[in-house]
Amino acid sequence: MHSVSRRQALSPRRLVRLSTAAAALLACQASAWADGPQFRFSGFGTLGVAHSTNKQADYTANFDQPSGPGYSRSWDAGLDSKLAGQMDVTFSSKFSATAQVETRRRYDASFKPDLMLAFGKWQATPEVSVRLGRLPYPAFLISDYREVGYSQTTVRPPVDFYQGVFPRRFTGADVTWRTSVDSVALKAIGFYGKELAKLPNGIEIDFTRVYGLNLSADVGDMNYRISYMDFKFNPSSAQLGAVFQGVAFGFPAGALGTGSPAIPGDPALANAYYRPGMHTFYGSLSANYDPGDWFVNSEVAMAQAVSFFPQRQFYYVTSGVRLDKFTPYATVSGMLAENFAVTGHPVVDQILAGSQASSQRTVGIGLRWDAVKNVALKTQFDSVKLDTGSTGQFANVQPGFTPGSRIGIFSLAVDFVF
Amino acid sequence: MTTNFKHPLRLALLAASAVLCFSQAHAAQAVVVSAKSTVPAMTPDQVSQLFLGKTSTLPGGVAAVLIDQPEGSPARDEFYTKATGKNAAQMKALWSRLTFSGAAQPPKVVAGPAEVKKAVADTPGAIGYIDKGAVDGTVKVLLTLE
Repeated sequence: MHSVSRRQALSPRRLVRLSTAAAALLACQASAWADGPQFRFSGFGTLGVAHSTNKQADYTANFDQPSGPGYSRSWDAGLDSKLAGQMDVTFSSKFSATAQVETRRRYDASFKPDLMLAFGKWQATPEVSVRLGRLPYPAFLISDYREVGYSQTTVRPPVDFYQGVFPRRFTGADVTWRTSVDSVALKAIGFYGKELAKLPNGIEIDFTRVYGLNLSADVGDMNYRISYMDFKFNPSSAQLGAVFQGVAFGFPAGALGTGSPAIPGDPALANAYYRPGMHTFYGSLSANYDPGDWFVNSEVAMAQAVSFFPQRQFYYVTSGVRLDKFTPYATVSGMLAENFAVTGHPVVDQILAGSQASSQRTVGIGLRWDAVKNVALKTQFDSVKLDTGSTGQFANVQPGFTPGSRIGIFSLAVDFVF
Repeated sequence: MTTNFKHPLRLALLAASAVLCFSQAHAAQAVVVSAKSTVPAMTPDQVSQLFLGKTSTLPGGVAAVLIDQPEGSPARDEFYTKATGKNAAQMKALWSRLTFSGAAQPPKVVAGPAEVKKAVADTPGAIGYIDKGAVDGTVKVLLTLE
């Protein structure tokens, strides 16, 4: 603080000192106001419609959506539309809390609001933070902001890659460590928890243990990311439970249709595909370049075979050019499911065949227009090609559906943040 | 930067440029911290990563507190274009990711260069940007983006 002497003339230097003193005084007041908890409300949403050229199956963006455009609706406003509000409370430089409520089409077809996030955060050191509560599941690059359309160039994360990714969140803890070495920014996130994921048709998957680690490095405009995720889960479905009960204890003659032969029980086979405490893992790699005027994002991932889910490989590359307020872009993506070995059990083989015949590839083009502040308009066309014999990742597949077909998806969306 | 104020004429010019800063579209931006800060300097890459939310500490390990100027202000647009190569919409998209994944909250926004100077003088670890012409003895310049 500078003292003011009466003997000094009103020099420029003195004026500067006076204003510095005044500024310091004001700043003291500002810091006094900042002492209590600080509240911040914000949110995001999307209004979108989508249309499918195929009327015999539904296109869905997320595994937990029971329907989409195609069979259920010609034009669907429920595929991408959503609204979310978030409250952040900062108690001090070390402690804060966040809650986010979202409404979107859920597993039960309703738009009932859902508490997506609810956690407390402790900034233990400038480089280490710990979060506890309901957290986003940080599987892949876009996973923890996949709902935020405004934050992405495309209408939705590449469906071939992201449609089957769940759980979307978990209850537990994560630890983030950030540091930098020269001009390389490094981040490591480790997480541990559990989650009950609800899916359409009464299926619940109780993830009794999820944990994982992801590491990322930013070098100039390049970003690299590597992740590993591990799950232990209990599948729960009345329908599948009954089927595998039959596999374990045998089907009497006629149980699988008129004239069907008796099938002897095979407890070991049932146990291999449907039992509590199943274990699996995912791994992924990502490389991204974004100097501002253009960008390219890419990810590859692998999921180990477990239960009636085959081993799968996922990939996508998205690139776009930013021309002032317009961003034309293109995406190439795919999900390739490998074949299971034939077990020789007619019921099990039928389930496995249905599950593995899901490979699909997509080429998409689109345009993002940052029309006004905090609002982006998007239009996108995706051409989905199913592999031979595959019904892809479509839901509500009807008997008239032709496996291996090519399907066009047209989307319009308005994304906003507030 | 107290040496800047030895010449009354120079001061007058600086004051004039400070007043004009809202209308200047292409003014150099100075990345500033408190004059008392021990941080020596920052590279353009370090400033970019900090304001893109990729790092959270100043060189030396102090937790950084980012100070922004208002949305739509020429100083803000100029700073992000020069420091990160990204425009206002891209920065908004980026902070939407960080905010709604619960990873971080956006920088504190203050009214203008005078308030940036107050904030960095008052808050340990605070770092902001102001027109080069608004620099005075209360702040220390870590990088100038011409």
